[in-house]
Amino acid sequence: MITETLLAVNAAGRKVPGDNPYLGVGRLRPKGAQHAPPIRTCADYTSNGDKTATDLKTALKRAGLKDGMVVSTHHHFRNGDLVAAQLFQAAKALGAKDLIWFPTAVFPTHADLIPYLEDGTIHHIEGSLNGPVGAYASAGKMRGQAVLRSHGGRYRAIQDGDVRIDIAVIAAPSADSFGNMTGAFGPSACGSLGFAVADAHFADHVIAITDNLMPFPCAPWQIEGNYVDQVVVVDRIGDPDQIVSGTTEITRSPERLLIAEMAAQLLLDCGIMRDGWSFQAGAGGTSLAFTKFAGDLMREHQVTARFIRGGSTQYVVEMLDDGRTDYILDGQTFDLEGVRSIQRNARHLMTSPFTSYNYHGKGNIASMLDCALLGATEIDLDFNANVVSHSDGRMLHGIGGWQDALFSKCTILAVPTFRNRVPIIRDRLTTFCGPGELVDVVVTERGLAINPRRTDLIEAAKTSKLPIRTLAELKTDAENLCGGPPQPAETGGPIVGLVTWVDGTILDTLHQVK
Amino acid sequence: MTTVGFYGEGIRGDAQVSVEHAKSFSVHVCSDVESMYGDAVRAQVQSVADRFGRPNVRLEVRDAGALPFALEARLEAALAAHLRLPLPDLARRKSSLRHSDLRRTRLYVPGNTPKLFPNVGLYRPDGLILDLEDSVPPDAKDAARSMVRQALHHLDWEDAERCVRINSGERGLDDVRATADQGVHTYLVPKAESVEDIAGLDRLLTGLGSESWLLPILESAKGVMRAFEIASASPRVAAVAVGLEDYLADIHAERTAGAEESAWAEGQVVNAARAAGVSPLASVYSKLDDDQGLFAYACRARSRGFDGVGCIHPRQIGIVHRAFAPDRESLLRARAIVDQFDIAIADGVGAIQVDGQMVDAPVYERARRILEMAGP
Repeated sequence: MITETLLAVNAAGRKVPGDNPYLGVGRLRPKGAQHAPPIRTCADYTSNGDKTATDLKTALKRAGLKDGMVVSTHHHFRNGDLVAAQLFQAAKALGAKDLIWFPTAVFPTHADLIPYLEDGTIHHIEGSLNGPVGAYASAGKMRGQAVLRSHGGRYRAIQDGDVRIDIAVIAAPSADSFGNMTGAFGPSACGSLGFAVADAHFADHVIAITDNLMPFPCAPWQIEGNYVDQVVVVDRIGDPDQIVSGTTEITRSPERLLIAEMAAQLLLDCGIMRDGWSFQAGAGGTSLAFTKFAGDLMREHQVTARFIRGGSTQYVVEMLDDGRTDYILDGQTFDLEGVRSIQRNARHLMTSPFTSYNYHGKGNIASMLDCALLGATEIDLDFNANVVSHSDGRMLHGIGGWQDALFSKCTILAVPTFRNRVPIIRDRLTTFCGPGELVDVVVTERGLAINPRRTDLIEAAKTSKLPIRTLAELKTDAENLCGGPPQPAETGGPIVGLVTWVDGTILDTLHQVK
Repeated sequence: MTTVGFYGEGIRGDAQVSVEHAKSFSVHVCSDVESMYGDAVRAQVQSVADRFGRPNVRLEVRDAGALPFALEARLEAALAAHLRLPLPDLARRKSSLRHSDLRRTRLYVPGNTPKLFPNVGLYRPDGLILDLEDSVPPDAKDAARSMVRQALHHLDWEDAERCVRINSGERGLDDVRATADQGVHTYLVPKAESVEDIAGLDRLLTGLGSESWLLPILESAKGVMRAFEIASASPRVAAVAVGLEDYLADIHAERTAGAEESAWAEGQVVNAARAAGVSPLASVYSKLDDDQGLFAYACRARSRGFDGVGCIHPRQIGIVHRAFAPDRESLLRARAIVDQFDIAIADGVGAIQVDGQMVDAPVYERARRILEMAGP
């Protein structure tokens, strides 16, 4: 257990363990070379290209599964994932212990894996936690610490060698026996497989698992078979009903609609929404409504975007189809319209966290975006924000692409001023996840606050009829309704998780919750 | 045991309070926001219990993040019901002066759903109706009355007209008694059918020293028939609304796409209201997802002479305001009239000509109203 004496105060003013504290945005100078997987030879693979193994257990055995290994899976199937469960069932049958599971995201369905944490098959989960698994870890029941990384941060950690994946198991909605894969079609079609690209390139051993084996070539592929060691065919890799929703529905919450509408209007009023602009689209309640309202304003004012970075849904597909955007750069496909669009439209491109988010690369798309609208669980008066924990410290959300997207030219945090008697604007964050210098605007149901650093935006918004206010005023409004500021949170339990910044430095800690 | 309020799956911003007889006074609190407001919740429970003299009861509070006004309402409603006592006194709240008398939109908010209350003013309806009547089931009427009273006392809703729809009959009079000193601008009177329905309320309000307006809803064959008498029954009547759902059931008619079945009642109400010098208001539009249908409905109501329509979701407000917005030509004309007449007033002139039209005070007022309808 880490004691107080080993903690140092980082550039965010947080006490963190170890020798890798957060230094500030862009301050870390990375050194050395990227991690490289072992060199392989064609002599070890069948010349006819057939890499199929009889089952997952056999494949894991052949991959050399040993105690303590790092094994990864991906969240393309979201709550419909059936791969992680099959992986650990096979691993347990082989008697493996103390595995480190390195997923791209965890969903409520992964509550099924808690027994493997309890029986020692899994030592700990290396990644953002939420839902039942998050509650398990927050209660201090998991051995080891959860290390929370953004999507870009996970790519970087693999590339830089912070995390070395022994075996990657990549769910493939369609694959051939050589290992070429795509998520664009098949009974479990999920759209882009971008989150698995780092694993394919850098893991020691790569297993493709599919329920739709097709004759070579599976084309067009997103991941090349040349990265793949083995292919396993199983009955089912995902529950289609939970992989993508048939349709994504706009929220009916009037507060969220109001927030989304004001955010879209601000972009128009400030001249950010103009021909050739770009923005990030999401599928969460407010994000989806924002995408729709932005699209409505673009139609009304005849504005065309050059690209939308998705989160693709029926709403961005409609904009691609009617010419309101030239391209969709898709990181994650949320509904069937998104999947169908990938199948038929060459301007709907599948990307990966390398393309969009990797901070240790030669630039990325995130910083080129004119706007990204994101959520938060807490914001302080300096625009710093929390996205991972509830105000009692419980792990609530993964970081996802949140930290990565903060780098957009106009980052908007869209939040209510209070949720169920929990004020969002606070004196001190429970968990520090993102530096306020990257947050440009906070939009709430009671008005918008522009970061004082953005004098240009403040100037541009002067003619807007929107209610522009300060964070302090919004905080006071919420506290007046909630009956004053909340009691200070009790912290100080053992550390159960680390929040990393996009460059791998440590931003903050998560503590055990009673 | 007496139980008031809600707690459980999907419930937010509310609390459930149970009271049962016991040998001594005791309190049991569990709160979803314990780590942030646990101490404040317990302090508030004690303070309300003190107002009831800390009776020999076991008081159990299950708090789903109720804001203080809502927790107060649940506590006092539960204790008052269990002990068969009246609601404790509440300090008087002065009625604020509205800057506008527009009634293009009036948003109905169910009176027993506190989580909706804090934000409803943000959608800028011209009027906000805290409803004690149809949206509240019979067994929750007292709880809703307490909730509406506390909401009126604690909350501000921008410049919206603060309205309460009371129940009909004797219960409605009690609804008025409980809320009359909490800054209510207007009481909506459902199922108004006679002059006496209005006169009785007028006398009660006068007795209570209230200046509130009355807004009778005509939603029966009899009510619509007597529209003029009702609209002129008291100087407190500011407007009359037609309630088509109940009215059409009463006359055994069916709703059709062309709405011919409503034409007579709507015409009758508009005519009666105008004859009585009050504002006629159209019924609600109940299809929530039909924005185009709502816009067409509101345009039709406007062209028939109505000054506004009822809304059942905040999203309807903007659409209705658009339907009631003046066109560009009349807006420009109104702007010219107001600008030039303002100068004339400053110069002490009472009547001028604008583009060949004679402009005096009534024309000026009408022009100002058009500008107001166009919004900020």
